[in-house]
Amino acid sequence: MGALRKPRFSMKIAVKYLAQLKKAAGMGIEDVAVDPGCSVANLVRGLAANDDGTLRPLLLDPQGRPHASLLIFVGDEQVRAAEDRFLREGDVVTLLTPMAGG
Amino acid sequence: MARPVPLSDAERSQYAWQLAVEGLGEEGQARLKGATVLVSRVGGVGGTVAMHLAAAGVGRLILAHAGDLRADDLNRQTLMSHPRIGISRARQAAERLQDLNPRVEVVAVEDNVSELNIAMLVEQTDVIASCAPLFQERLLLNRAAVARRMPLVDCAMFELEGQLTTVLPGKTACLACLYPTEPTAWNRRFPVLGAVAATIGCLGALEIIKIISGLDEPLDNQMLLCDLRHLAFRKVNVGRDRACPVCGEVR
Ligand SMILES: [Zn+2]
Repeated sequence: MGALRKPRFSMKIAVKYLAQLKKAAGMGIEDVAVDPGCSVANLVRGLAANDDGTLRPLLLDPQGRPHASLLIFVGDEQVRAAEDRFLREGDVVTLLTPMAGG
Repeated sequence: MARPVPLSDAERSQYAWQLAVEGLGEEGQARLKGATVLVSRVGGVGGTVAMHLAAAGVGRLILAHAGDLRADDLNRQTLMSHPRIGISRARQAAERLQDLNPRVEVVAVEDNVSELNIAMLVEQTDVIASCAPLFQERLLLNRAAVARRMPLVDCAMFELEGQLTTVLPGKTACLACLYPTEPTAWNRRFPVLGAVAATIGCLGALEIIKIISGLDEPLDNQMLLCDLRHLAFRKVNVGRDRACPVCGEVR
C-alpha cells in the first residue's frame, strides 16, 4: 500500500471488497493504513494505484476518477466519492460494483 | 396500485395457508389478485420471482424474455425442462406457472424489454421485477418506473452474493442514483449457482408481495447485501442523489 502509507501518522481502516471486486482483489477484506485527512475518493485512488492492474478498471474511470457506478459505504452508510467524506480511524469501507444477473 | 378484486370460495380455499399470515388476510390477498407484475426475464432470478408471485396469487404476470432454452440455462432456470431445450423460455415459463396456478393470468412476451416495447409492457403494470442480466435493460426499466411512479424491485447476483433493492419513485433512491452510468467490466456470463439465484428471487418476490398487499414495509432507501458463501445478510443505507438525471425532479 506504498502510496497510502505514512507510517508515522497513519490511521488504520478496513476495506471490504464485494462481488466482482472481491474476485479482482483476491480477498474479501484487507487492513489499510491511510493518512489522516484521507478522503474516500483518495482511498479509492490509492487502492487502484497499489493494485497490479485488475482492480483499477473497476475502481476508476478512464479519467482516473472513482467510477460513477462504484458503490461505497462507510460503515452501513452510502458515501459518494464526490462528497469529500474524510475517513476516521477504524472505519470499515465497503466497495461494491453493482451486480446484474438473471 | 390496482384495485383489490374479491376472492372466490375456491381462491379462499387455495390460499388458506397464507390468508392466516399476519398483515395479509383477505384484503391483502384481494390486492394481490387485482395486481399485475411485469417480470423482466424469467431466468434463475426472475423465474423464481414469477413462480412465487404465481403461487401467492398475483392476478396477472407479464413475463418478458427472448430466446429459446439452452442446456446451460438449466443450472438455475427451474421453470424450464430438459426435454424442451430449443423451445421458447417465456412460453415454457408461462406454461409451468399456469400449471402451478391456473387462477392467475400469465402473459408470455417472447422478447426482452427494450425501447420498442417498454411503453406497451408497463401500460398495465403495477410493479416491475427487474431481473435482467444487462444493466442497459435494468436502467431502462428504472426510467419507466420513475416516469410512472411505479415501484420496482431490483434483484441481482454474482457468484455466491446477491443484492436486492426497492425503488419507490419520489421516496427512495432509484437505480440511476446508485449507478448513473452502466458499470464497466460486467460480463454477460458470470459465475453463479442456481440456489443463489433462487434465494434472491424468493426475496424479490417477498418484497413485491409486501408492496402490493401492504403485508409489511418494503426496503426503504436500503440495499440488502447477501453473502451466501458465509450466510451473512446485511442492510446498508442508500440515498437519493439530488442531481439524479432520472429521479432528481421527482417528489
Ligand atoms: Zn434517481
